[in-house]
Amino acid sequence: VREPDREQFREFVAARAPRLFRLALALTGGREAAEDLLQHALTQTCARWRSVRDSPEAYVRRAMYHAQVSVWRRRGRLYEVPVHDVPDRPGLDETAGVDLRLALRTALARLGRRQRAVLVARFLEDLSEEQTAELLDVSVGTVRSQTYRALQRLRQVAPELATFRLPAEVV
Amino acid sequence: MNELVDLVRAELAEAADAEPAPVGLADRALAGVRRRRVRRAVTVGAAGLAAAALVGAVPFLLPDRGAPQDSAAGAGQRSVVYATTSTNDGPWKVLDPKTGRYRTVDVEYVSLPTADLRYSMVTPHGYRPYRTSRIGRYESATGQIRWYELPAEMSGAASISPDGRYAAGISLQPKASIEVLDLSTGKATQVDIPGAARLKITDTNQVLWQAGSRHLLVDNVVVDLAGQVTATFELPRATRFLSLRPDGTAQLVVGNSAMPHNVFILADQHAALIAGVAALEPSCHPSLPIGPSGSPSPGGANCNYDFLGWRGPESLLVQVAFANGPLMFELSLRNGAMRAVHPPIPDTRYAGMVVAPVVNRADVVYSATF
Repeated sequence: VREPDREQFREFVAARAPRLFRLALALTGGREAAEDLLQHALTQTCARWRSVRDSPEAYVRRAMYHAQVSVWRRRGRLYEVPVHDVPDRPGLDETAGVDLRLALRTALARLGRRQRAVLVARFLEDLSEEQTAELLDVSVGTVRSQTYRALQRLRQVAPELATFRLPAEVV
Repeated sequence: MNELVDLVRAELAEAADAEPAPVGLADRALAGVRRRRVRRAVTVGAAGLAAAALVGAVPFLLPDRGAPQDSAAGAGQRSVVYATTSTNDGPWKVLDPKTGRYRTVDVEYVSLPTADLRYSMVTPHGYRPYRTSRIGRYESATGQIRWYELPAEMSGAASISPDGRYAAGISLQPKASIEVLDLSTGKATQVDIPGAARLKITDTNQVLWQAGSRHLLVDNVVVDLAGQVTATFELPRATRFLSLRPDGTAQLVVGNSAMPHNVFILADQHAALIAGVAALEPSCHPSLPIGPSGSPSPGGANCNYDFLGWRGPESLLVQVAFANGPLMFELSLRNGAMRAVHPPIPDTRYAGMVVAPVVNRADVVYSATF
């Protein structure tokens, strides 16, 4: 990578890293995994900088989604031990809400990667079903069914969530 | 808020906002591109390794153990490259320790072997990522695999006990637990994970057997086969866990994104620092000179040093990418000495590697060791 491109890449990362890391955290649920995921996507982006520099953020986002859902990204390749820290949660309600949120956090961690990615795209990024389908290279029907199954799965894993309604559009 | 979607949205947002972005991402990506290109284009063999000059390291938290020694503390300890793969998914080349030759084994994953290098656990191709209900025990001398069907899907790769009697992995159904398989009888049992650790378990966790084959490390907790917690390791601030020292009394950690990538720290169970070194390599110049408060800003701060394994109780095997390809070093935690080592590697290119200590050298052909 030539020096002007390197500088351009550095500027891009400096400006967009907080937003991209936020997405990586949502996709993975843990700092180490998020850092790994974003690093992987940025390395891909850097290697293709000349062809993607017009819209690098879209490329990084897409690379993260695809890496997260479609590839067994081998952890511990050299036998480092992955320690997957779920972020600490200071400031939670100290009443029944704590149990509920802990149950939801645990249930989200139990979701498959594709299901979690669909929830992130739909409900954190507020993408439409069509946009999500395009991002993940799947059909709109798949997005719809994955969303429904993911929400159902959350309620199965955490019975505390059974009283919460599923939205009409995914039922 | 009465819809599940609202709750999910709030939880995902909280997870997304829980941590600030790490520093140095761009430089690490640039270094990653260099490594990828090097890995593609350059062979890694004895000639390349021999070209390595001795490099130095800075000990910054030395215990009071007298004057530094000239050589790495682990000198004399030997290791083998037990398995390598040139892709992330196999096939693997696995060592026959009696002949020193490598046998091609078409599986997705090979675990660390038993202490005598006789067995390791393997995972077949084609199962859902991080989930399998089928694992195998590979026998190094014959190349045979005995397959086991598990009652509950295992998440992450199985590890085998040092004595070869058990395999263990994480099961997430019906709740997070350790699934222990008796390799003689094929009987599987579930061992509870203590509550505090259970919350942190995901499909990327691995179970690590401790010496003695009766204790398991999962997350930061050591449990026995009855599920009783026998030790809990508290991480030093701003670090992440790598490994337990072979005697199980200390933890090896590295800094998270707030610290340089060449710093290795040995800490006790309560996160008190025992020793630490910042590995240095003159040709791996830092473009991001960051360092923990009170420590030197070492020259190798922007190098990625991969931990490969222990080389005795006070030395590590580490790998770092250089212009001519990755090289392996023995790094002393005692005095910071670094020494290039030259493993016999079956492939000139590799993406994954299993390095194991040689406990009983008489059982291993000498030419396979380094």
